[in-house]
Amino acid sequence: MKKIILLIISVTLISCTHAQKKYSNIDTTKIAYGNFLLKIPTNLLPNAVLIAGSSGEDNYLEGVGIKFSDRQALWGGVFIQEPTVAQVGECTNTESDVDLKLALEKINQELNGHRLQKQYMDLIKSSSCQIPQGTSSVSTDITPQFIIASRCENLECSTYVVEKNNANNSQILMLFTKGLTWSWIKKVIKGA
Amino acid sequence: MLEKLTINEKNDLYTIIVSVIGEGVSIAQRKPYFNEQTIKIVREMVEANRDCNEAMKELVTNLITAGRLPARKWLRKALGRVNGLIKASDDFNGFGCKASVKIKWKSPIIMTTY
Repeated sequence: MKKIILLIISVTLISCTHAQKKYSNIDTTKIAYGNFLLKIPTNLLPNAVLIAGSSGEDNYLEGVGIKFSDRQALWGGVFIQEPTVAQVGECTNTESDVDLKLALEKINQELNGHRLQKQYMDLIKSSSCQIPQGTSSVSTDITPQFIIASRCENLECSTYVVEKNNANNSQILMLFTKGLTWSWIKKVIKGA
Repeated sequence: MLEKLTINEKNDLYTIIVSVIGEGVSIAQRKPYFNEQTIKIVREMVEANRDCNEAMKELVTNLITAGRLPARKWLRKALGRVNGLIKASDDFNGFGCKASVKIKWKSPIIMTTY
């Protein structure tokens, strides 16, 4: 009887270890978005279309867009924080501004202080920015390195990432996804 | 079965795209491949960004709020009219929305052509 129990325990432990090893060893391809490195599962890429990004005006970089399939895609860019940035700050009530405002509010709360640059604080405080009724809430995740804020509706997510210990000088990653879950997005950002 | 767009419709659609996200070689190169999916994503973009400038607001208000055209198909049916309004408005000339809008919508538009 003892032998059977020991055998069962051994098999269970081996299975867990194997599963863990398999998960952490998944092949990923690193894709740079400014200073951020996204780790995309390589097995999703063979049939994907990669669309080259380009540098924007003065204050943003556009990243590579990836169309995994007609239902799944990822794209985005980074805001490069510079004193001359004029395009962020005043809310125009576009969907993008509302998303950015909601995300920055959450990120700022997690930072426990006013450490974001002025133009982002202006957007947070903008009285002209109206949050439409029924707007879904923002989910956040904090890692040793990043604060991640995301608003998702029907598997369409707008995600914003700030480096935790360098919020005042870092870039802000904006990532948009279609057909991908919040948990998948977090893994890609964290490189899990 | 999806209807193919005419060259004029593709040109009109490109004009609308430029009015929101500005001129860009990457989108201009994909113009021959614009299709019904491109119209769908551009409609979503215009509706989501009606507040990006006054001219856009007026355009969307005229076309949707007035209820002259079905909401889901308005852009497809109104391409010519939209193009005329854009050309008549100085507010559209060279004036795109903010960077966050451009980053959010440019890639999905290009993706519809692949």
